[in-house]
Amino acid sequence: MRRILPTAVAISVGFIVLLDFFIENPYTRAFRSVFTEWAMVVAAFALVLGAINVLTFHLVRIGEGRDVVYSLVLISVMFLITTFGILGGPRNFLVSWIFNYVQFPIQSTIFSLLAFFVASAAYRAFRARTWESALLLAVGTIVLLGQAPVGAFLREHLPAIKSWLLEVPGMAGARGIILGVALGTVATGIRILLGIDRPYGEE
Amino acid sequence: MEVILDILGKSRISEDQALMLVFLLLFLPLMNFFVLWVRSGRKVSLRPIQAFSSIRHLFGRAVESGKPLHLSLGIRGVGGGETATTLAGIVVLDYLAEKAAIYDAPPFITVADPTLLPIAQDSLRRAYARQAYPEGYDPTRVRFIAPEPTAYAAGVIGAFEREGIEFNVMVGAFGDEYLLMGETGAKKGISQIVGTNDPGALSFAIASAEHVLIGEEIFASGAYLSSLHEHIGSLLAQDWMRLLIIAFIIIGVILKSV
Repeated sequence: MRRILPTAVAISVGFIVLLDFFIENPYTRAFRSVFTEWAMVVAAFALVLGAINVLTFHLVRIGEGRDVVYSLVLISVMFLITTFGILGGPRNFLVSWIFNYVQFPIQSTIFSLLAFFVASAAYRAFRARTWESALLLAVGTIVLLGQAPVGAFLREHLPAIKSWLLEVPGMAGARGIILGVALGTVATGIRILLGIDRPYGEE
Repeated sequence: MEVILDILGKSRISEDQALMLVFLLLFLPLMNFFVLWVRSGRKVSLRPIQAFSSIRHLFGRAVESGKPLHLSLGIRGVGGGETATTLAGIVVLDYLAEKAAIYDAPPFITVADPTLLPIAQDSLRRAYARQAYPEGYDPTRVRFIAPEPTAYAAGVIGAFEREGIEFNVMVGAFGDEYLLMGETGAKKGISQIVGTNDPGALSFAIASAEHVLIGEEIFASGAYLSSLHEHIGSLLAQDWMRLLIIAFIIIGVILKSV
């Protein structure tokens, strides 16, 4: 029963939602709306589980005496934001201020480091040790020069070559990947819909 | 073509819906046929994909060295547009969990979406239960870091340092933030295998990881790692559907050009 019930529920819900994609029926539409709402509620509960997981991990670390200061800061801020959020709502001044002037700048700072990481990764990838790396280096150089104003100054055809590289072989490769991913996605969906894959219950 | 569009117009089915219906009606019997074909004991040879054999090898090295293997399931969860990609990561987790339960060397798993937390914990729990060793299951091996991609990346980088990670497997949906983790791992000399479906993140993965699962290859995890008949059958159906699509594209190009 522990195996059959979750599978039956998953297959039924999946088929109703899929059916609603193909036919216009008020009943299937109503069922789909209800299931979507339930999914959102379940996801919200999952966030509570996530918060408990984070809290447990940092409390254990404090208990073990490892990185106590960082864990204390995290737990304090977590409680502070949660309390202000619950009392004053998500548009509360303090919550908005922390998001706008602490969290977003920190995220932007971390993301801005990406440029240096790209340079470092490109250096490793472009070392012409194999013919593939040499080709990558050549194409990368053309695209880089074609993208910059200096490219047109050096060779007038460079921007056109860059555009061709991006729009023809580059786009063809990307579309091939996307097509394959779409096929894989459909196959995964069908396996779950037919109950072949059951990531939700006992075997 | 006009006749088809006219019929569709009268039946109130849009072109997208009709295309999807035709696709499903072709795919479903094809997949069932190949699943039954594989189940009947036919030998299927899959082309070698280095990344899958490296995952096995990496796990072996992690067990021998006693160093933890980190598994990232990407920055998305189940319920959104990247559910299938995330589930591909879960298949890799199932494989590693099974091996972990045998050798009692659980991987260190990080998730960015809280919906994956109970799924990942359940995968580990079930694997230990199957090996009749439920007391070996440790739910703290799965960690929720943060739902924000950059915060998740920062958390994983911290974990590389703190947990002494030497082996890293990342399969799921990733964006540009992947490079923050992948490049840090590469600089620290961590052996890395990455699989994702985003062409942008793939270019970063190729630059920083030893082996990469490109796009649809991540959906072949069940067939390659666990040799599941259903997954091998579905892989064969995918290949035939791809050939069909390629044929349609070529015919379309010819018809349009003539």
